[in-house]
Amino acid sequence: MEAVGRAVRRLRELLAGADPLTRQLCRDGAIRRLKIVTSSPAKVVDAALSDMAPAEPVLETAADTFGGGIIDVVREGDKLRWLVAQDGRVSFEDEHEGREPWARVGLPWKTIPTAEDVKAALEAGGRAPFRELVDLHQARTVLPEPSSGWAALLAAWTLGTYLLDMFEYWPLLLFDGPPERGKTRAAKAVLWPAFRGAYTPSPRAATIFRDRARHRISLLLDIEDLPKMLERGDDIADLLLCSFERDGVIRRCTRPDAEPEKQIETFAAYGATIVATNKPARDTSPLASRCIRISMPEAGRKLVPNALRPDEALILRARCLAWRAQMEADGTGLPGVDTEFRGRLRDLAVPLLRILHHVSPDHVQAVEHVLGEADRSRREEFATSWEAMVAIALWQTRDKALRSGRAYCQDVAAHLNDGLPDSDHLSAQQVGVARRALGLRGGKGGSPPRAYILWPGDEQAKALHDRYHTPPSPEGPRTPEGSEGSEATPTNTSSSDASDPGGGRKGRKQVGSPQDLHETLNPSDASDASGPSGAPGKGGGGEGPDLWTGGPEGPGRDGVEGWRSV
Amino acid sequence: MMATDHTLARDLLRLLRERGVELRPDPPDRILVKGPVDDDLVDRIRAAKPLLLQYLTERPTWPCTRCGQFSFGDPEQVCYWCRRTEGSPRHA
Repeated sequence: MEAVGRAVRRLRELLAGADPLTRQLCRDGAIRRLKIVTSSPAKVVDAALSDMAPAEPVLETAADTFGGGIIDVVREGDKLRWLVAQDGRVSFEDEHEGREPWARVGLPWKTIPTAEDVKAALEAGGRAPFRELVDLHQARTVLPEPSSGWAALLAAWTLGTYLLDMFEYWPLLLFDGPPERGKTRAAKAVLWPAFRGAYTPSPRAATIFRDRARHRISLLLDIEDLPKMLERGDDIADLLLCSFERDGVIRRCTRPDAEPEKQIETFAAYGATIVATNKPARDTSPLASRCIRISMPEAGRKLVPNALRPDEALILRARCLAWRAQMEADGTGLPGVDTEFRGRLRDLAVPLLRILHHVSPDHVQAVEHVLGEADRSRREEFATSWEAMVAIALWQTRDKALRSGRAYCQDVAAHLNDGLPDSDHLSAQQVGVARRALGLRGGKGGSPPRAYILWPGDEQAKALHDRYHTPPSPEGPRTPEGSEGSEATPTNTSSSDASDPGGGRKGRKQVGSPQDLHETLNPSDASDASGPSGAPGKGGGGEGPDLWTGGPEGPGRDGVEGWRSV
Repeated sequence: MMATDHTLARDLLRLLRERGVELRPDPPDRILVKGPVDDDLVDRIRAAKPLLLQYLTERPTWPCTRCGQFSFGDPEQVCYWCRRTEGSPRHA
């Protein structure tokens, strides 16, 4: 090592004053020679040349392992090579634009296919192994019914992990269910054929952040208590929330002792993420609307095979890579699609449907069906909440509200309670609580003064109605084919975080609005909603002092005194 | 919102607070005022209404200058956790 040090120092002396090209050429030559004696020759040379004027262009050997034409890393004998698709051709390269593959020990994923398998797949036409992935999921996991639809969805998700650059959003997969339902087993069957699937039972933010940013790994996280982790808001929770969106980044202070501009490091968080958990995210969690939730059914008498091993997925990985590389080389894009889904569900569904339209249009309907059903069950959960009931009732009583620009809480409550047993009645006060949670404005007015919801406008009221309203299933009652008694029972833990001032109301709960709802509302109203809720017994079913006033007739006319409009 | 606009809105709000005037935005284009407000003050509020409305409805935030994980209503703040581990600028 001393000799290496001497040689590198000598190189530094010789290169003093050399032009950038000479410096770069010498650097590359030195790296090649030093490979025999050290495992990280580029670092050694760069350390020696670090305080010299930078050579131009700056080439980074330890750069990210994707992008710029690099599809992935493949094995050829003992060494790793880049699989590159550029300028209309697919090639295997030891170095690509100054970037060399990392040493295998430094790569966090195990499933590195051989160049031979990728070549064979390319020669066979580079077709997407969609059918094989569907078969794999149907054979290896006990999926909820309709299992063929879910298997197609998972196969599309796996293929999509190779095309993340083509999408703005990529949905998380959430496998939930009680222990021993095969969550991790199912998740591994999705993970190992996916792009750079990495699994660790004990994730640490420092490593995962870097692995995601440098390699864009597909990540499987096994989390026992997901709601608790999200509530705690730790680093892994940040990664989960940011990985959904293409521009998602996490900033961390990694060098507090450095100069201000170097203290903070930004990690790209976008990537494919699978979460397996015993306790699903609460409906109010921002994660709930960013993931496709798969509630694992009880296997019953079905024979459950062993979990897929990484080496068993290598051929599939090679075929996926060949498909991806061929697409890149041919300049093939995915078709655009239109779907009836809206809001977050649309963001989740569109990338999957684009892939399906490209690789297997026959499966589009089946996947739309399972996504629609999953959304329907989520809405049904919400439909029993005060917010949902008030949002729906507000639209239904719009004729009355439109006349005065106000929907009186008493009237809304009367409409809601019509035909319900006394034990299920909502009070005007509870309607007021729901009003705040919905981010709607209100006040007190009339004679005698009564609490009201200020009419938010037809568009807003209809949007709220549509968000919470569960449209009737086109197939009638939900009895999926051949699934009598075997359909997954969603594990509902959302009631644990519901605070129900009414207490003991069967089938009703107060839950927060879906995360994305508030994104469309006035933020100052949201702060109103976060105030103490359910203060009981303020005159005649009122809802406590509300500083908001000023209906269509102008402020200070009745109700709250002393406010002046400017 | 430019930094100067933000400063303008913040200074006016501070003045109003000191005089015991309460302010509430009433989007899209109104502001509700309560308290001892004279005509001169009303004129100032009217003049700065777009800035005030923007400030009150989309209040700008700045991250902790050390870790970036916590947000504050004023720039150049250091969060509790960074102050604890690194010492605050005052004590540094």
